[in-house]
Amino acid sequence: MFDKFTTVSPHNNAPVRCSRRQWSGHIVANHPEMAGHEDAVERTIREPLAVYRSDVDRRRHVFYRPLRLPPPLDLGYLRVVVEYSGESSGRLRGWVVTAFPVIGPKKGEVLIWPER
Amino acid sequence: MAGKVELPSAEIPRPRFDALPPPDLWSVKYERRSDTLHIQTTPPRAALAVDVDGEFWVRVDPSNGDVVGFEIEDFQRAFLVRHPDIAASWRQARRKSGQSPEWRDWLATFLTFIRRQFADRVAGQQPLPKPM
Repeated sequence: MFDKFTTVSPHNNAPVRCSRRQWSGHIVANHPEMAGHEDAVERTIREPLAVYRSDVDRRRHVFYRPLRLPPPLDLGYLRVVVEYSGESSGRLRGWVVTAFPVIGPKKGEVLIWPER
Repeated sequence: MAGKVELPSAEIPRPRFDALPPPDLWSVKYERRSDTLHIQTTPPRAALAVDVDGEFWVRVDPSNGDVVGFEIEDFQRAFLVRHPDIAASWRQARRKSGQSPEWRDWLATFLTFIRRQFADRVAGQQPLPKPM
Protein backbone atom coordinates (compact mmCIF):
# COMPACT_ATOMS: atom_id res chain seq x y z
CA MET A 1 0.00 0.00 0.00
CA PHE A 2 2.91 2.32 0.70
CA ASP A 3 5.09 0.90 -2.04
CA LYS A 4 5.46 2.22 -5.54
CA PHE A 5 6.56 -1.27 -6.50
CA THR A 6 8.16 -4.43 -5.15
CA THR A 7 10.32 -6.84 -7.11
CA VAL A 8 13.10 -9.39 -6.69
CA SER A 9 16.75 -8.93 -7.55
CA PRO A 10 18.00 -11.98 -9.47
CA HIS A 11 21.61 -12.16 -8.28
CA ASN A 12 20.66 -12.73 -4.63
CA ASN A 13 16.94 -13.58 -4.93
CA ALA A 14 16.04 -10.89 -2.38
CA PRO A 15 12.83 -8.84 -2.32
CA VAL A 16 13.33 -5.15 -3.11
CA ARG A 17 10.81 -2.40 -2.43
CA CYS A 18 10.52 1.19 -3.56
CA SER A 19 8.29 3.28 -1.34
CA ARG A 20 6.01 5.94 -2.76
CA ARG A 21 7.75 8.43 -0.50
CA GLN A 22 11.18 7.55 -1.86
CA TRP A 23 9.89 7.62 -5.41
CA SER A 24 8.23 11.03 -5.31
CA GLY A 25 10.22 12.69 -2.54
CA HIS A 26 13.66 11.69 -3.66
CA ILE A 27 13.90 10.07 -7.07
CA VAL A 28 11.56 12.24 -9.12
CA ALA A 29 12.08 15.38 -7.00
CA ASN A 30 15.81 15.30 -7.70
CA HIS A 31 15.69 13.70 -11.14
CA PRO A 32 12.69 15.08 -13.06
CA GLU A 33 13.61 12.98 -16.09
CA MET A 34 12.53 9.89 -14.09
CA ALA A 35 8.86 10.89 -13.85
CA GLY A 36 6.72 8.10 -15.25
CA HIS A 37 9.60 5.63 -15.52
CA GLU A 38 8.98 3.51 -12.41
CA ASP A 39 8.48 0.47 -14.65
CA ALA A 40 12.00 0.96 -16.02
CA VAL A 41 13.40 1.10 -12.49
CA GLU A 42 11.60 -2.09 -11.52
CA ARG A 43 12.81 -3.81 -14.69
CA THR A 44 16.39 -2.68 -14.14
CA ILE A 45 16.37 -4.44 -10.76
CA ARG A 46 14.59 -7.51 -12.07
CA GLU A 47 16.55 -7.86 -15.34
CA PRO A 48 19.81 -5.93 -14.96
CA LEU A 49 22.57 -5.79 -17.51
CA ALA A 50 25.07 -5.70 -14.67
CA VAL A 51 25.16 -5.35 -10.88
CA TYR A 52 27.99 -3.59 -9.08
CA ARG A 53 28.79 -3.14 -5.40
CA SER A 54 29.50 0.27 -3.92
CA ASP A 55 33.13 0.75 -2.98
CA VAL A 56 32.05 2.70 0.14
CA ASP A 57 29.07 0.70 1.43
CA ARG A 58 29.02 -3.06 0.86
CA ARG A 59 25.28 -3.14 1.58
CA ARG A 60 24.60 -1.09 -1.55
CA HIS A 61 24.31 -2.81 -4.91
CA VAL A 62 24.06 -0.80 -8.10
CA PHE A 63 21.99 -2.04 -11.03
CA TYR A 64 22.46 -0.91 -14.65
CA ARG A 65 20.35 -1.42 -17.73
CA PRO A 66 20.11 0.52 -21.00
CA LEU A 67 17.44 3.19 -20.77
CA ARG A 68 15.76 4.95 -23.64
CA LEU A 69 14.38 8.38 -22.82
CA PRO A 70 13.14 11.00 -25.28
CA PRO A 71 15.94 12.96 -27.03
CA PRO A 72 18.30 14.46 -25.98
CA LEU A 73 18.24 12.02 -23.05
CA ASP A 74 18.19 8.95 -25.31
CA LEU A 75 21.67 7.80 -24.33
CA GLY A 76 23.22 5.77 -21.59
CA TYR A 77 21.85 3.60 -18.83
CA LEU A 78 19.50 3.66 -15.91
CA ARG A 79 21.39 3.37 -12.61
CA VAL A 80 19.48 2.06 -9.60
CA VAL A 81 21.02 1.88 -6.13
CA VAL A 82 19.55 -0.69 -3.72
CA GLU A 83 20.55 -1.01 -0.07
CA TYR A 84 20.18 -4.45 1.52
CA SER A 85 19.72 -5.42 5.14
CA GLY A 86 18.99 -8.58 7.07
CA GLU A 87 21.90 -10.64 5.75
CA SER A 88 22.92 -11.84 9.20
CA SER A 89 19.39 -13.02 10.00
CA GLY A 90 18.99 -14.79 6.68
CA ARG A 91 16.15 -12.48 5.67
CA LEU A 92 17.87 -10.35 3.06
CA ARG A 93 15.75 -7.51 1.68
CA GLY A 94 16.45 -4.26 -0.13
CA TRP A 95 15.08 -0.76 -0.62
CA VAL A 96 15.64 1.57 -3.55
CA VAL A 97 17.92 4.43 -2.54
CA THR A 98 18.00 6.28 -5.85
CA ALA A 99 17.61 5.91 -9.61
CA PHE A 100 18.76 8.17 -12.43
CA PRO A 101 20.17 7.99 -15.98
CA VAL A 102 23.94 7.94 -16.44
CA ILE A 103 26.36 7.52 -19.31
CA GLY A 104 28.25 4.71 -17.57
CA PRO A 105 29.08 3.16 -14.19
CA LYS A 106 30.87 4.98 -11.40
CA LYS A 107 34.61 4.62 -11.01
CA GLY A 108 35.41 2.32 -8.08
CA GLU A 109 32.24 0.26 -8.19
CA VAL A 110 32.97 -3.47 -8.23
CA LEU A 111 31.21 -5.75 -10.70
CA ILE A 112 29.51 -8.61 -8.82
CA TRP A 113 27.06 -9.89 -11.44
CA PRO A 114 27.17 -11.46 -13.91
CA GLU A 115 30.05 -13.52 -12.57
CA ARG A 116 32.52 -14.82 -15.05
CA MET B 1 35.58 -11.51 -11.37
CA ALA B 2 34.86 -8.60 -13.67
CA GLY B 3 32.73 -9.30 -16.73
CA LYS B 4 33.91 -8.84 -20.26
CA VAL B 5 34.13 -5.25 -21.39
CA GLU B 6 32.05 -4.74 -24.51
CA LEU B 7 29.69 -1.76 -24.36
CA PRO B 8 31.14 1.69 -24.81
CA SER B 9 29.87 4.52 -22.66
CA ALA B 10 27.63 7.02 -24.35
CA GLU B 11 29.26 10.18 -25.62
CA ILE B 12 27.80 13.55 -24.75
CA PRO B 13 29.22 17.07 -24.83
CA ARG B 14 31.89 17.67 -22.20
CA PRO B 15 30.39 19.27 -19.07
CA ARG B 16 30.91 23.02 -19.18
CA PHE B 17 32.55 23.61 -15.82
CA ASP B 18 33.75 26.97 -17.14
CA ALA B 19 30.16 28.24 -17.44
CA LEU B 20 28.56 27.32 -14.11
CA PRO B 21 25.61 29.52 -13.09
CA PRO B 22 26.23 31.84 -10.10
CA PRO B 23 25.55 30.54 -6.56
CA ASP B 24 22.16 32.27 -6.20
CA LEU B 25 20.74 30.10 -8.99
CA TRP B 26 21.44 26.82 -7.19
CA SER B 27 19.60 24.95 -4.46
CA VAL B 28 21.19 22.57 -1.96
CA LYS B 29 19.54 19.60 -0.28
CA TYR B 30 21.17 17.02 1.96
CA GLU B 31 19.42 13.67 2.50
CA ARG B 32 20.61 12.08 5.71
CA ARG B 33 19.13 8.61 5.13
CA SER B 34 21.02 8.09 1.88
CA ASP B 35 23.93 10.42 2.82
CA THR B 36 23.53 12.22 -0.50
CA LEU B 37 24.01 15.90 -1.29
CA HIS B 38 21.99 17.33 -4.16
CA ILE B 39 22.99 20.64 -5.72
CA GLN B 40 20.70 21.70 -8.54
CA THR B 41 19.87 24.67 -10.63
CA THR B 42 16.33 25.86 -9.92
CA PRO B 43 13.96 24.56 -11.06
CA PRO B 44 15.54 21.08 -11.49
CA ARG B 45 16.20 20.18 -15.13
CA ALA B 46 16.26 16.81 -16.86
CA ALA B 47 19.80 15.56 -17.31
CA LEU B 48 22.19 12.66 -17.77
CA ALA B 49 24.71 12.07 -14.98
CA VAL B 50 28.43 11.82 -15.69
CA ASP B 51 30.83 10.30 -13.17
CA VAL B 52 33.68 12.59 -12.19
CA ASP B 53 36.56 10.32 -11.24
CA GLY B 54 34.44 8.38 -8.75
CA GLU B 55 34.00 11.52 -6.62
CA PHE B 56 30.51 12.67 -7.58
CA TRP B 57 28.01 12.86 -10.40
CA VAL B 58 27.67 15.95 -12.51
CA ARG B 59 24.25 16.32 -14.10
CA VAL B 60 24.57 17.50 -17.67
CA ASP B 61 22.13 18.67 -20.32
CA PRO B 62 23.30 16.37 -23.13
CA SER B 63 22.16 18.77 -25.82
CA ASN B 64 24.74 21.44 -24.94
CA GLY B 65 26.91 20.33 -22.01
CA ASP B 66 25.32 22.73 -19.52
CA VAL B 67 25.94 21.63 -15.92
CA VAL B 68 22.54 21.59 -14.18
CA GLY B 69 23.42 19.78 -10.97
CA PHE B 70 25.75 17.76 -8.80
CA GLU B 71 24.95 14.64 -6.80
CA ILE B 72 27.42 13.49 -4.18
CA GLU B 73 26.82 10.03 -2.74
CA ASP B 74 28.36 9.03 0.60
CA PHE B 75 28.76 12.75 1.17
CA GLN B 76 29.57 12.85 4.89
CA ARG B 77 31.19 9.47 5.33
CA ALA B 78 33.47 9.64 2.28
CA PHE B 79 33.51 12.91 0.30
CA LEU B 80 33.98 15.28 3.25
CA VAL B 81 36.60 12.97 4.71
CA ARG B 82 38.59 13.23 1.50
CA HIS B 83 38.10 16.99 1.24
CA PRO B 84 38.42 18.55 4.70
CA ASP B 85 38.65 22.07 3.28
CA ILE B 86 35.03 21.72 2.12
CA ALA B 87 34.04 19.97 5.35
CA ALA B 88 34.84 22.92 7.60
CA SER B 89 32.65 25.39 5.71
CA TRP B 90 29.93 22.74 5.35
CA ARG B 91 29.67 22.32 9.11
CA GLN B 92 29.26 26.09 9.49
CA ALA B 93 26.60 26.35 6.80
CA ARG B 94 24.57 23.40 8.13
CA ARG B 95 23.79 25.32 11.32
CA LYS B 96 22.02 28.02 9.29
CA SER B 97 18.91 28.15 7.14
CA GLY B 98 19.05 27.35 3.45
CA GLN B 99 18.84 31.01 2.42
CA SER B 100 21.47 32.36 4.78
CA PRO B 101 24.71 34.07 3.67
CA GLU B 102 26.59 31.08 5.09
CA TRP B 103 24.88 28.81 2.55
CA ARG B 104 25.65 31.13 -0.34
CA ASP B 105 29.25 31.34 0.85
CA TRP B 106 29.48 27.57 1.05
CA LEU B 107 28.00 27.19 -2.42
CA ALA B 108 30.46 29.70 -3.82
CA THR B 109 33.29 27.81 -2.11
CA PHE B 110 32.01 24.51 -3.46
CA LEU B 111 31.62 25.74 -7.04
CA THR B 112 35.10 27.26 -7.01
CA PHE B 113 36.45 24.01 -5.57
CA ILE B 114 34.73 22.04 -8.32
CA ARG B 115 36.13 24.24 -11.07
CA ARG B 116 39.66 24.07 -9.71
CA GLN B 117 39.81 20.43 -8.73
CA PHE B 118 37.64 18.53 -11.14
CA ALA B 119 37.19 20.37 -14.42
CA ASP B 120 39.83 18.15 -16.04
CA ARG B 121 38.84 14.96 -14.24
CA VAL B 122 35.67 13.92 -16.01
CA ALA B 123 36.49 10.25 -16.16
CA GLY B 124 36.51 8.16 -19.27
CA GLN B 125 33.81 5.96 -17.75
CA GLN B 126 34.39 2.25 -17.49
CA PRO B 127 32.29 0.34 -20.00
CA LEU B 128 29.53 -2.01 -18.93
CA PRO B 129 29.68 -5.72 -19.66
CA LYS B 130 28.16 -7.32 -22.73
CA PRO B 131 24.38 -7.88 -22.54
CA MET B 132 23.45 -11.43 -21.55
